[in-house]
Amino acid sequence: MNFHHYSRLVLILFFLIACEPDDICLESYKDSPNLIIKFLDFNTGENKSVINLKIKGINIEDDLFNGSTDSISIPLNNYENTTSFSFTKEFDSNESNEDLIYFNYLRNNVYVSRSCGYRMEYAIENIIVENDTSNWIEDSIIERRVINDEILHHVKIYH
Amino acid sequence: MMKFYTMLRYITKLITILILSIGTSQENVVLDQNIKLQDSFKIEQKYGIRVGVDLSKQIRMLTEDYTGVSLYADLRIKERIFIVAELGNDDKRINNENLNSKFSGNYIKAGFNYNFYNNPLGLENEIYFGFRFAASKFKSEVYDYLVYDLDKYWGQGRIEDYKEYNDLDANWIELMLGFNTKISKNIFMGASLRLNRMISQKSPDNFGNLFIPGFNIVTEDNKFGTGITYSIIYRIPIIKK
Repeated sequence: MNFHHYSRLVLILFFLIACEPDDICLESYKDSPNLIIKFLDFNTGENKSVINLKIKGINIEDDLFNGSTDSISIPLNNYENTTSFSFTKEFDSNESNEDLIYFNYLRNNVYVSRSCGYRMEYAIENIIVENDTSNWIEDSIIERRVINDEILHHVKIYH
Repeated sequence: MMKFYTMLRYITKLITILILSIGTSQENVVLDQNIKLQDSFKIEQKYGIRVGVDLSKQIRMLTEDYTGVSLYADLRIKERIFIVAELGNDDKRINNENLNSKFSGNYIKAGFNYNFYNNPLGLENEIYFGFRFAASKFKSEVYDYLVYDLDKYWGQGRIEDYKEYNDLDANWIELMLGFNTKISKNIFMGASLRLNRMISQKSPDNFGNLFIPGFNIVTEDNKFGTGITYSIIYRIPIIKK
């Protein structure tokens, strides 16, 4: 190999390393966790499904959930310290009953990666159910204050 | 896609310049050899201090949100061995869809080059392997970010939460392959490719070192990095042997 072969080799290698890796966030990283709620019977303390539950954010068009379930995973608002939901039970009958529920929390950003940036974690301060003439939600208990995973429920709601 | 085209333009420019410079050096070779033939018994080897700048930084400034400067000095101590020092400054914005940040600071690199090219009579080109030990002191800044949340039920907006992380540092080694070619009396042009391996780095608790001055882009979970230089070097004509 003479000088020109070597210099050509170096130039070819230039091509190979001159490009930057793309900054695309791969969804393999854990994102901001959802709030997980478990529904229980107010009298017996056992798991109890809510029949035909409809959940949506107050002032938001789209429903988050429709159906019967004894536990639910819902996203909190990353841009405010309060998230307000409308929980309607038996939404498709004459017995339909809407309760408004407010979650107050602190937010903490946690660095994920170059391409994904930061995710949010939360610490629940309190839960307020707005009083109306016939609340179907009897009580709520914060089981795990810090929301940084989606392994177990964070909040219990008795009805 | 835009990035690709600008990069392509930059590489094309670089190669044109390099090919021109190699072409120029070849003409000189012929002249030099003619001169040397006249007194072929006396082979003059020049030893001395050379100083230079890395022009690849100036080229990067045209295509990236980046400013920087890098100074170079070497001293030939043996026929094939040069002691090298490099000093520089980088200031790089890293903006992507989810995160806007900046990294800035200074670095120093020291090591040697070993010229393994056997020059024909009268030539002073080098093709070398090099080794550097490098250290950088820098700071990072986070301007704003988009929260990484896959269900976007509550909409998305950027959170502006300026944070500055000072007193960060890093140490690494570099292995390099490069060439320098003499383009006229006492002036050399060269390019090098570098493979960097991180030894240690100090990063803040809630952020990462995405770029380290001197080291270049740091990719996730990877101790290795790469770098390129494209230099103009001037030999101070004092010492002769």
